Amino acid sequence: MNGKKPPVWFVTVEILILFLVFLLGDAVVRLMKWPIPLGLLGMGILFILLATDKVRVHLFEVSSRFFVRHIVLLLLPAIVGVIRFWPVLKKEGWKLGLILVVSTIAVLVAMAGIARITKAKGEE
Amino acid sequence: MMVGQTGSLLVLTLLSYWAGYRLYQRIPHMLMSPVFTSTLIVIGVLWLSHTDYQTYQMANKPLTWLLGPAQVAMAVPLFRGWKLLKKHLSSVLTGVCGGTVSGMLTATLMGKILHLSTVTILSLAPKSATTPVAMMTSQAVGGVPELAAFFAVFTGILGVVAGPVILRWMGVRNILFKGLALGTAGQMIGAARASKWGDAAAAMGIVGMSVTALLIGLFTPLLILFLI
Repeated sequence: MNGKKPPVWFVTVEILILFLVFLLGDAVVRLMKWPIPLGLLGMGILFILLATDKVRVHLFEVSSRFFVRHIVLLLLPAIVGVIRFWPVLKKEGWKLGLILVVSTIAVLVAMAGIARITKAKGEE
Repeated sequence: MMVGQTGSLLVLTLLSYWAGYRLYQRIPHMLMSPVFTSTLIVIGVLWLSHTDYQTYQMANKPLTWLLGPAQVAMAVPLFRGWKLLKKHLSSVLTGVCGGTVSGMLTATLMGKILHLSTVTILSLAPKSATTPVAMMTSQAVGGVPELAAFFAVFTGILGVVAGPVILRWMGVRNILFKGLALGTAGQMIGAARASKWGDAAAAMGIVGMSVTALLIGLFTPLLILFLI
């Protein structure tokens, strides 16, 4: 940020552009029938545009910060949706809890193990 | 009348989030996160007003639509961490691949052993991706997006609670790698926690989060073959 605050309408334009990129990725995924999640391709497209200097990164400064900070707002409707699966969660709750805890630990332990091995090869 | 109800249900989400956000600023504790407080407020109001979830979901479509652009916008922090990523490319890829695959296999195998339904397993599998990606992935493979969102958020919280402890216990001292591990295990919530170790660790957290989301998007469809 170089001290200039972009006007409010600018954010709307930023989000519209992001939306168009998302739709572009969406269209490609549907055409190609790739089973990859929507949004990832859009992220890839924008990343390539940034990396090849086609788009200046500060164009999306405000919107990307807003999204990172307030992602929970966008997720609220989905998280509230969990009430529909209350019976499942009540019945399988302990299993799900156990799986979440163990697999999270598995990710961390695997990574720590890999860190030790690669360090042994002298990588820092 | 219908329009009024739709509008008020959208306003309900915005107000609940605002209240939860302010509360979290007052009491910055994991358990006071808007994920819990705002969700409880919304559920409470829906229950009191006898509104069914379907109606609420329809009214809040605009917010759900924004998840697409939100995921696209993740390219920005990833681009900022690009220099670091290039510098440590091999160790980043090895670490994130190893961690992500271990987590997915553990969750899937345990789900099989504990006799969870395939739909539930497919909602669990992508939980280490960013929440929007977890939702879209589970939808693509036949899971339930709402469950996937719930699991993803919970995984983020667990990653932040367990991450620093396990990494210290296993003797990982490299701050960059610690950031990477938190981003991999706890996506956005983990990356935010990694910023306590400085900007470089935060950038690595974003890198871990993004690479994990990509890998999960690519690997989950392969899991179906393994499940059937």
